Amino acid sequence: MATSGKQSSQWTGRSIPRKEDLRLLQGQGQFMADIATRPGTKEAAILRSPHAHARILAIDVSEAVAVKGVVSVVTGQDVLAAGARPLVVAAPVPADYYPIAVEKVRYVGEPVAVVVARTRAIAEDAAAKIKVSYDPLPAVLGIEEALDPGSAVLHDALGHNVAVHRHLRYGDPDGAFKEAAHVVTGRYWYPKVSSTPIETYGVIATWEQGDTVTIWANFQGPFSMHPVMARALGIGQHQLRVIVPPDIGGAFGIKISIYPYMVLMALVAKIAGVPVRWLEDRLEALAASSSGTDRLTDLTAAVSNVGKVIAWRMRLVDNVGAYIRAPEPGSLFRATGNLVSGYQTQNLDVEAIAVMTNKCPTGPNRGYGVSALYFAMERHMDKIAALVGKDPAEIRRINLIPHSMMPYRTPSGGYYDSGDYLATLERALERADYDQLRQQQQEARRQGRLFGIGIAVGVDPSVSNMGYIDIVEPPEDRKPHRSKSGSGQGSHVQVDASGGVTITLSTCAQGQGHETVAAQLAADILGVDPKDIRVIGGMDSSTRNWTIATGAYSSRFAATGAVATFSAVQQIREKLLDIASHVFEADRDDVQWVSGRAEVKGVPARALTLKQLAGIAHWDVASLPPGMEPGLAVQTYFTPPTLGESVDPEDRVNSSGTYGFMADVVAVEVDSKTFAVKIHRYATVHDIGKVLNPAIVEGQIYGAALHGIGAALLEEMVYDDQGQLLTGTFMDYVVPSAPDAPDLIIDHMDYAEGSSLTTPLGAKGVGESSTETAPAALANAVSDALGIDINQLPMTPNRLFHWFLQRESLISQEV
Amino acid sequence: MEPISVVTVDMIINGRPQQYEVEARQSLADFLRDQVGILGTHIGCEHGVCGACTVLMDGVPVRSCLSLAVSASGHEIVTIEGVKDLPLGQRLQQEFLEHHALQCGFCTPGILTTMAHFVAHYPKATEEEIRDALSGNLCRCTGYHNIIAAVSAVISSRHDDAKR
Amino acid sequence: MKFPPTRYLRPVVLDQALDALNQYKGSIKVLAGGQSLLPLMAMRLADPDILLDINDLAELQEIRDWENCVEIGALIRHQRLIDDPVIQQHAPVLPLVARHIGHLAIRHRGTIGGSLVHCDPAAELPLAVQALDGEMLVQSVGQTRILPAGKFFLSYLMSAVEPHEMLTAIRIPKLMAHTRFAFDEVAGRTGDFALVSALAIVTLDDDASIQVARLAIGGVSEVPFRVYEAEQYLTDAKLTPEVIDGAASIVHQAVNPEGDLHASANYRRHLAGVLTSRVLTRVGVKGDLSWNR
Repeated sequence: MATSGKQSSQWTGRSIPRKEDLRLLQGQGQFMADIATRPGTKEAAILRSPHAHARILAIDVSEAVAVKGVVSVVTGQDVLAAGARPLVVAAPVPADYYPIAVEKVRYVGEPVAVVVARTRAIAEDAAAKIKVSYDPLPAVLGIEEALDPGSAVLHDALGHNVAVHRHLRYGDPDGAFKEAAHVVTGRYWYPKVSSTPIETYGVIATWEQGDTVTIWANFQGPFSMHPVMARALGIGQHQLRVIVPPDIGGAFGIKISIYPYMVLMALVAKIAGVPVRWLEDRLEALAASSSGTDRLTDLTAAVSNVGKVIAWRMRLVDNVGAYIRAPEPGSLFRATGNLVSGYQTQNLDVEAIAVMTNKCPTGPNRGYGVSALYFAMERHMDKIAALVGKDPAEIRRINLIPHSMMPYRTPSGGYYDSGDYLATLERALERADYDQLRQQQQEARRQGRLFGIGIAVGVDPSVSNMGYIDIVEPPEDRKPHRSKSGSGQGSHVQVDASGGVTITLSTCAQGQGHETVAAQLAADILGVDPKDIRVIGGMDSSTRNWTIATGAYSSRFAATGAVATFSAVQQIREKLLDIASHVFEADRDDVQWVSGRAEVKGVPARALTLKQLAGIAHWDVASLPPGMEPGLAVQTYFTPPTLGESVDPEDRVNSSGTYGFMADVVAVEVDSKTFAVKIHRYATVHDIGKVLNPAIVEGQIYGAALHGIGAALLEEMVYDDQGQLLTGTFMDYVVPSAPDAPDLIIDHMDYAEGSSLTTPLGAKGVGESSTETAPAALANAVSDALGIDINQLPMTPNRLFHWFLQRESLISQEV
Repeated sequence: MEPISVVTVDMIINGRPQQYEVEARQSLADFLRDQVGILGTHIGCEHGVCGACTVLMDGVPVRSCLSLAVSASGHEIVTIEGVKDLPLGQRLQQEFLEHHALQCGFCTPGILTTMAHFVAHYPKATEEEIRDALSGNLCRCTGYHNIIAAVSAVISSRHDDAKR
Repeated sequence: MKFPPTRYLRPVVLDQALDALNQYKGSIKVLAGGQSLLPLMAMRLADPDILLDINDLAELQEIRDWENCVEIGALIRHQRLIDDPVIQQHAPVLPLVARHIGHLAIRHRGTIGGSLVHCDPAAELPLAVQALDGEMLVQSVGQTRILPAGKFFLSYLMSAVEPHEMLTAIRIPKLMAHTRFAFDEVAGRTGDFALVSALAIVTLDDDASIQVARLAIGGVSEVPFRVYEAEQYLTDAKLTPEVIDGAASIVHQAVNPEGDLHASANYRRHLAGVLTSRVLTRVGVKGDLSWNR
């Protein structure tokens, strides 16, 4: 990518090669499986449930324990006896969740016993010798089945399968529906998909002095799970040290849900009396790590005679699987502030329901709670367009929030600080050459080819407000002084006595290039080369500065960790200038930082280099200004100023720190015989504020789009009616490979310095971006190509064949 | 001939002769990581789909999760740690760096070993052929685009070299 | 996903291997490329006491150019099928289909013998051997059986090779002059097992009417499916659009596939017809003889 324009800064805003790549390209990364274990560490293997729903009658471990090399075999009852407590969750329901099955199993793949042995292979040999007797129970799998009071119940103490049920109202939806010229309804199914990072989970747990545990894990945060883990282990947070390795092999939200395994392995290590390592294998990952929810959306729009949506009525039902596992039911509420996406609608009626079924528990997955919402809304906008006889582009023009209304407060509390949505859409149409595509479509149709065009737009929320989840309880049930808000992230910068700069992050990056961007920002402030700045990735909860929001999730680095780093380096520079002005006996205002040195204005000869000043700070306390502390280290925290409030009594919350915007335009051709979908053109334009590193941003968009495309065309966790997982291998859970990946036309809206009101750097998150729009854009395009109303993903050729056949038979019946 | 469960293996790994005792059941991937102690070969699926563990055996790419260590005895293995010593290895690494062809970097070792073979043997490969050759290496971060661009750059630089 | 405990044998000559098979029959499994067996072991769906690693057997790595056929050692890897000049010249159908097998790393390791013995009805080489009327040399101590394809592929993942036997070579009849062929498949992704595949091999008269037709469909039955009815229908006909439609319609009727996660029975049946018409159309145009030039 070309570096655009002349930047006021030398490094920030450029696509410099990444610092991380130097080690990764040589095979010298330090991933979880590469962490050296302490001598005596044993390997764990997990025996998992073959049943979707069954009572555990007995577990006989005698043969397994007798296998040579086995140290210990741990069951759910052993874990309870060791004092384990359930993992807490925001939803107030009696559905206790332990990291291993106790009494009942509730999904295929649920841990039933853990074998600790000299090698993983021996542990697997022994696991096969454990005899478990089960009393199988009927399985509940579908959303509608889970809502049916007559279905089997997963959690007896709850008595039904509904974990959360909230009704949210904003504005005057009933009034709007009375006024509506049209009422448009639709029902949409979004599939259960997992971003399946290529590196699986890994955990090492070791106890010191009996009451302090250190857990290494490729955990991506948020560290709001840290108190959850400590509580489940029955220890204080200060007794739980979590260390995250510098390299994580992809996460995409999935590596949030590793924390139950961190608790489990800590418990197993305690019971077995040895340090324990567990490296998840792919079959375990597919069956029992995490995925997004499958969601059923009922959408009704009140539409004016010109096609303006004046109210939405939404019924969102998320299937969170066998247990409601924190941060679920976040999927239902993550998008609260942007429930209207980029549209002007002020009236909203939302029924939000989470059900439990005998599937693997869910959690955050790229596009958390948003991809499913926009799939329904953007399909719906096309239906509305058809009803009122407008082009899909035009219906969006009619409804989008104009730039003149920025900053904009959504009815549900979202604060959109900036963005030009209409211009973004126009740019996308232009970059896709929309008019030409429509002509091409006419021509293709004349030839009997199935060619379609789809548009999807969306507000892209980033940096989740820790408080949004409070909405799970109705206002009257919320406890005073227990509300949550903000999204703090720390950073630490140190300059050694020789002027060497070390930035210590706590952001748990998984490929987003945090080290590179941190170095770029610092290099500009200090006037040094990013190559000469050392950046330490990973995380250590006992030695680094962090908050419960710490981690890399919710596309948050650019608007939090980068800002904290920026501000820390600025403070370092201020201190250097303070020292210089004291040494020069010059007025503080007369000393400035130029090209890596502090110099007296107008007297370039009177200058001290970074190295010299650092030397003074470390070696020569006597030369420091009176009262100044020696040393050169700064620790900062940052939270976006707009996240200062939790959910209000009207259920409004600004659920995200930044809101970008994107418009995707895609053209597809569907093979009229095999029904394979080929992406002919894909343009995506983003309004994300300032771009800190164009190559990294482009990489995020490419990756995000392909996750959305995977969900649209290929991916789904499929269970049979007994609850057996049919997509339990990488042969059957089909993710996109190189031949499936389209080239994208990517463009960005120009950033006007200072236009973002929520983040000092002006940079908004982009990590999820087109994951949220690609499924809708493709569904719109394929619907357009086939002339059918698609309301379900993925659009496999097999499904398209059947849907098309149904349409043909309907048409022939009409004739 | 008596079947045995622990076998002495001899092989050349990244140019150095090595001898170990291995269990017959041990995969080449586990052997390289756990016994030889070189950690660049990553294990992603252990059933031959994701390609992260790909190494070169006698110069051709193989899945080290779908090879036994004992079967590799008598052969020459090159892992990511040895890619820099292959004819086009460093050029590939450089183009990957310049094209931002990796994000988390976990799949990268398998991609580089596969592509080190590919660019050496298919100097005229088209983009479609590059995509096909990459089809056995799953990457969840990059969307593949920059990987393809980096490999294309190596191949076209070979053409430029040939013209000179 | 660690392999279960096993013992290991690595003979250097075929007789040693056959002796071992005889001695340990039932508890020993032949390990060639391992690209089908080892995933099964990793999932602990296969648990052989002994692995007989035949990769050192030179006898199994030869390609012989006989008068009427090419004899291909069972250990010949897929990539060699693609690259070997003798095979390219006399059995060009094999390189054509082999390019669709798995991925680069799989093709460099997997063997023709392994693929045939694994007997997956959606795999490319069994389909080709079925269509080409290949013959399998199956050896045991002191005995060699020669099995035609029709008697070799018994059922889903089941070949006619007995526990004490080993497939050692495959004989592929050389293509007659004026023979054209085409292959196509529909797979979820490049390199995945085909949902359905089709291979047409057609020898033409001087007046362009069909002298011999072979048509095989993969992924629609327990073994690769020769559609003899369609072959008969095509014989003496010319490849006009009407004839192609007729053949596709026969195939559509003749196949009786089962549905699974990735493709319903109806979709598979539909694809069988579609692919038949695609490969026959391509054969009618010029065929794939020039695929590698």
